[in-house]
Amino acid sequence: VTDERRGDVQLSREGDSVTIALSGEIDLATAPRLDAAIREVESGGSTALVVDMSELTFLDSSGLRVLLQASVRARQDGDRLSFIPSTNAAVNRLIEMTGTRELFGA
Amino acid sequence: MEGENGEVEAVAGARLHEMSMALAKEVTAERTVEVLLEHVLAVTGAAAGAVGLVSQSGTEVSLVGFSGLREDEVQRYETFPLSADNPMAQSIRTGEPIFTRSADELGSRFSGLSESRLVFASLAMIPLLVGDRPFGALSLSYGESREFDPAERALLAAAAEPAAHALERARLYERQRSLVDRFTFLAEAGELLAQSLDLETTLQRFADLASNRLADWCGIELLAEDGSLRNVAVAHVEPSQVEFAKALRTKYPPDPEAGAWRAVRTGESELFPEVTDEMLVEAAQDEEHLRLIRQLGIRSVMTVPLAARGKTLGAITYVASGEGRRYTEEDLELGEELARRAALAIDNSMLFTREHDAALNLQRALLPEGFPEIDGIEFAAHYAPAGEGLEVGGDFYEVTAMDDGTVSVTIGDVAGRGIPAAAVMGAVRTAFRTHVLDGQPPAEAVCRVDRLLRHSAGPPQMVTAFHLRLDPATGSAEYVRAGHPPALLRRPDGAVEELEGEGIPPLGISSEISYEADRVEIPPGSLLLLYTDGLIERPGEDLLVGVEQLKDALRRAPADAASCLRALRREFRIDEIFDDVAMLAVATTASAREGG
Repeated sequence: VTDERRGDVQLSREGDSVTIALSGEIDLATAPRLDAAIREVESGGSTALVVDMSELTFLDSSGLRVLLQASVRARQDGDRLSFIPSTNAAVNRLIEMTGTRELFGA
Repeated sequence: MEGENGEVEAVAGARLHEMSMALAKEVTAERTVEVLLEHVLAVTGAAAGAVGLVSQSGTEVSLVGFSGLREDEVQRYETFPLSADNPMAQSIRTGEPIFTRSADELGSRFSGLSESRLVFASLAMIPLLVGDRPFGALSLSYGESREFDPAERALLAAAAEPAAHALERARLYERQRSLVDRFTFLAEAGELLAQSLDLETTLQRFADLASNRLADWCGIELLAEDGSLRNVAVAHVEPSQVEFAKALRTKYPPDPEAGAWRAVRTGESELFPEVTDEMLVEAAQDEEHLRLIRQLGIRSVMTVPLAARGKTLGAITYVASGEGRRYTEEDLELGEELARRAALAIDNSMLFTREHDAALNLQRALLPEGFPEIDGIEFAAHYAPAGEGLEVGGDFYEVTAMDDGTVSVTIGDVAGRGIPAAAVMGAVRTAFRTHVLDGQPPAEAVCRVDRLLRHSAGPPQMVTAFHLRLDPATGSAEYVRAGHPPALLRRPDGAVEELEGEGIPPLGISSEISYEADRVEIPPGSLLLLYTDGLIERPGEDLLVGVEQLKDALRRAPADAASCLRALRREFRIDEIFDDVAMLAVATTASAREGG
C-alpha cells in the first residue's frame, strides 16, 4: 500500500527545457527528493523548468514549501519556472488556503 | 594368483570409482567427511578410519570424523597441536604417508601413544593435500598385520586424492558462503543502523542481530558524559540468559583494567580465541563472582572499541559460549567492521541529539515566557516539538499589548528546521512585536515583516503567519492571513467559523504586495484559536478533514483558554504528531467591555 501511495519525481529533458513530473504524494517523506531534483536542474544550466503537477494526488506543506522556494529562486536568478496545475481537490485546497494560487501561474 | 589379484584390484577400483562419484556430489565439508568414511573402509579393507583437518589458525589438528573407533578414543584425540608426536600430526607436517606394519612398530616409532591406540595391528596415515600443501590426513587402521606393498600404497594414495579434492572444494565453497553471509550480515546491520529509531532501541536490535550471527553473547557499552561506562544493550541467543548477565553486571561492574574499559582506553581490539578457566580465576573479583562467570560458559571473547571521527564512544563485547564457536582473526575483522558501522550511527545520533536539543532550547528561549495581563482576556499557548527523528521546526507565537488597550496576537511558521529556522523565527517574532509597538496596523506590520524577509541576505526565507489585532473595548478585530491556515473563532453561541479572509501568500516570497486587513467582530465570551499546520495536516489527507475535525473539537472545548488547549492536546494527541505544533488560544470574557 505504502509503495503505491509514495510520491514519484521524474525528470525528462527536451532541448533546453526540463520537465519534472510529480505523481502520487509529495509530503514530509518525499519533499526532499523533489527539492534535490529541482536543485539539480537549477545547477544544470537549463533555460526552462516545468513542474508538472497533473498526476499529483497529495501535497503537504513541506512539498509546497519546496515549490514556493524554487519559484523565489527562479525569480531571483531570472530562471524560467512554470507549473502545469494539479486537478486534485486536496492539492488545490492547500494552494488556496496558503494563498499561493498566483505563484503557480494559474 | 595373478588372476585373483587382478580381480581384487578390479573390485577395489570399482569401489574407488563409486566413492569418487559420491564425493563429487557433496558440497559441505561435514557431508564430504561422512561420505568419505562411509566408503573408504570398503575401498581399503581397513577396520577403522578417521579424518583430521588442520584448524583455521594452522596450529592445531581436529578430528572431524571417524568410523570404527571407540568414542573415548576419539575424544582423547579430538584436537591436538600440529606439533604433537603422533602419526597424524607428523604426516600432515611432512606431507608424507606413514605405514606401520604392526602395533609394536607403531609403539616404537611414536613412544607417546597410549596403550589404547595400539589395539589395531597396522596403520596407514595418508596426508590429504592439494598441490603440495597438506591440510589434513586420512587415518586407516587394520586388525591384521599388513605389508603395504606398492600396489596397496598406490590404492591408498588413489583413495586419498579424490577425498582431498572434495574436501578442498568444500572448504572453498564454505569460505565463499561465509563471505556471502558476511556481506549479507553487514548489509543487514547497516540497514538496521540506518533506521531512525532512538539510539538504545537501535543498539539493542543491533546486539540481537550480532548475538545471532557472530556471538552467543553481545554487549554494548557507551562512555557516558560523567566518564562512566554505561551498558546500553545486552543480547544472548538464549533470551533467558540476558537477565542473568544484567544482574551479574550490576553486582560486579566491569573491571577498569580489562575488557570493555581497556578497549575504550587503548582504542585497540582484543581477541581471546580460547578463554581458559585460569583466565576466569584471574578475572574474578571474588569466589561468588568466579562461580557466576563460570556459569556463563565463556569460551572465546572479542572486545572491539566503538570509535568514530577520532573519538572513542564505547565498546562492543562479543562472547562465544559453549561448544562450537571459537573466534579467529577473521571473526575479529567482521566484529570490527560491525563496530565501525555502529560507531558511526551512534555518533550521528548523538550529534543529532545535541543539535536537536540546542535548536529546541533556542526555540523555547525565543518563545514568550508569559502573557500580558489584560482585563477580560485570557491567553494560553502550547508548543509541541516534532517527533523523534525530525529536527525542531520554526513555529512561533507572540502576544503584544499596546498602551491604547488593544492587543496583537500572532502565530507563524518559518520554513526550515533546526537552528537556522529557530534563528529566523526569533527575528520574525521580534519584528512583529516591534512594528506592533510602533503603532503599525496589522496590514502594515505584516507588509514590513514581508519586506524584511525579502531583503535579508542569504537564501530566501519563507514564513506563514496569522496576525490579528483586537480592541477588547469594542470587540472589533483586524487580521491578515499570510499563507497560514485560518484561525478559528468560537462565538458565544458556540458556532465556530474560519477566519479565512482574503488571504495573501506566505511572507518573504512575493514581490511587493498591497492589501487590506480583514475585519471580524469578537464579542465577549468568544474563544479564538490560532495554530500551525502540524495540527491539521495528516499524511495523504485533504486539509479540509483536519480543519473540520478541529472545528468540531473546538465546538466542544471548555470555555477558558488553558482548559481548551488541554482538551485539544488530548484529542489531537499532539505529542504524537510527527511535525511541530504550536497553538495559541485567546478567550474573551464578559467583563472585557464592562471593564473598558
